[in-house]
Amino acid sequence: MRRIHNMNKSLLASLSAAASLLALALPAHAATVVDTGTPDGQAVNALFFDSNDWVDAQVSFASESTIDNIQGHILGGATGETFDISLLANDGRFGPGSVLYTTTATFGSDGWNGAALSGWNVAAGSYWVEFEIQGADTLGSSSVTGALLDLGAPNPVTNTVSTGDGGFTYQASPLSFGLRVDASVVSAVPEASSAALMLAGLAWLFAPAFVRRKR
Amino acid sequence: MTHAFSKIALTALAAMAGIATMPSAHAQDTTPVVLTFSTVGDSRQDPNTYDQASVGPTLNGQDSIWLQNTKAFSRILRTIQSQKSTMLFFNGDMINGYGWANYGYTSNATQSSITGPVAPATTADIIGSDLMKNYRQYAFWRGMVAQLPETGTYVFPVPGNHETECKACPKNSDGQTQSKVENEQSYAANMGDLILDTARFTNVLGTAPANVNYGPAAGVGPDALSTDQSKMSYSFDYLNLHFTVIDTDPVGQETSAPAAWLAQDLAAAQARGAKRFFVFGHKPAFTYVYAPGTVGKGLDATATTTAKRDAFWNVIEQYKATYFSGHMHTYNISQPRGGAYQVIVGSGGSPFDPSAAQATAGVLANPATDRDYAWATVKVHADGGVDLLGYGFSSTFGPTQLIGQYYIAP
Repeated sequence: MRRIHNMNKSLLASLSAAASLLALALPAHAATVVDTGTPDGQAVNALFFDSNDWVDAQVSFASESTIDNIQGHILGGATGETFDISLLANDGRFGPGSVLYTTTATFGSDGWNGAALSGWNVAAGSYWVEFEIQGADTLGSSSVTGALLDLGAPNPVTNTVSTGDGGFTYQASPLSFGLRVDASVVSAVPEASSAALMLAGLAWLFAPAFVRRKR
Repeated sequence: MTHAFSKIALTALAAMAGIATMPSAHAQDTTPVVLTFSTVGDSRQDPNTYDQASVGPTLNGQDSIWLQNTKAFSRILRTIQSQKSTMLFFNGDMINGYGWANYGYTSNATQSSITGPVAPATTADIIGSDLMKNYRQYAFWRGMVAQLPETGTYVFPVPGNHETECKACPKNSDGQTQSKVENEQSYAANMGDLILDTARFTNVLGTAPANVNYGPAAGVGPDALSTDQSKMSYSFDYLNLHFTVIDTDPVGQETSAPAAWLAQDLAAAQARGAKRFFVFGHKPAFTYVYAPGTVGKGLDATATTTAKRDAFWNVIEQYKATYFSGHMHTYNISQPRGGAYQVIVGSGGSPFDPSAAQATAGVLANPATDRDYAWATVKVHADGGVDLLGYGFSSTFGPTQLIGQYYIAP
């Protein structure tokens, strides 16, 4: 009897700790924020992607998040060549604003290429994902066509920006390049399902004691 | 459990197969690229008929004086250099020109009439003269390309009709605008140092041009041209490749290629062991009909010029050469007779021939690219295979795209 009582105490302590952790706002679950679908895979008519040009896509996060993964659908690279992915703030007037995060990604083969990310934390709001080939990057340097951003994605992002007009051109009609963004939502309040689970656990824990007391 | 695992494995294999068969941007020729060069023409702006749908209702101050489409051409140059092209062949019409670069001649603003010879009486007379405008426009264009040889790209000029012809002067008996020897001399004075600067060529390309062949002197040569062609047509070998530049508007033989000189030149190169032949001229051999009613704008302008064109194209096909041209302000790559390629890249900034109105009306043959600012970048492989790549951006200066890809087998 005493052993059961001790076990209940330790369970209670564990559940209390779990509840505390939930209350301290830990990451909840990973989700796909953007998935344009796979473009057509055709080199001709794809965007030429070189050290002169960069391309941005506007992405929005409904709540505070940690970006886990960004990928673009890229052709014309060679395994091991590099390019840059950045996240930029949204400047209401000009589109992409200041650079918040940058990482170097490594090309594998024609198709989805990108980088797993760490520490890319963002508040709710709009941002710009940018693909760029910078000074030390090598993407496209050994292929015939140069690197290409594949077009023809079935669900393109609404707003894209690219270089072109002596700076950048805001494209009202989107460039249909392939983009995938995965992120984990950071929740300050336990979600309803989490709270329900916790309550169920507590009920299971205290039910025997309640029954014994009634007897 | 086993069944489920099998399904997962099959799905994974199918996905891998899908990746393996996905269309690829890689060329079919896997031998190393031994040379990358680019070619474009016609960057000159027009003071009267500029493309308002592209550059706006008025020209900016700079382009209205020096008559370049600076925005388009500078972007093309920038990208060509990012593609690490070590040669740029500019297929003519680098200046608006089209006057008479002779002492005391002045065309009116629309170049519909010309006065002269009149000795200039004022500074304004000098500044407004065709000769002065001609040199001024050359200087600006040279400034635009000046950095290229310093950063890895040698520039080869090709004469165009805006360099050699006088628009307001009387037409010849075949209705063609006539070239002037003074215009050829101005071209030689402003471009001649590039034809060929052995030291600069060697610095950029690692070895000197071999077997340089300059066009014939006045009255000499198989085409019996009346003026000195030594800076107008020229050729050279590089690696086992042969490059020939031709003047398609020589004085007295406007709208025709020096086919006999070219035949001798290519025969000699072949005898030396050249494996590939690339020929550059201003006017296309075959007019690209970009819309119904497009009139002959190339070497097929009249019955007389078409007969000469046929002789020229026979030479091109005999040597399986590729012919690059400008003049038509659009982009088109074709095999006019099913064999040799003709590459029209007169899309370096001049007002588009396919108009915005035609685009709106939906009558363009290739609406996606007819009004693109475009150029060709060519990659020659070790086995002799050639990748012919068209790149461009829209008349509204959208992002650069790969707009055409062709392969010429060894």
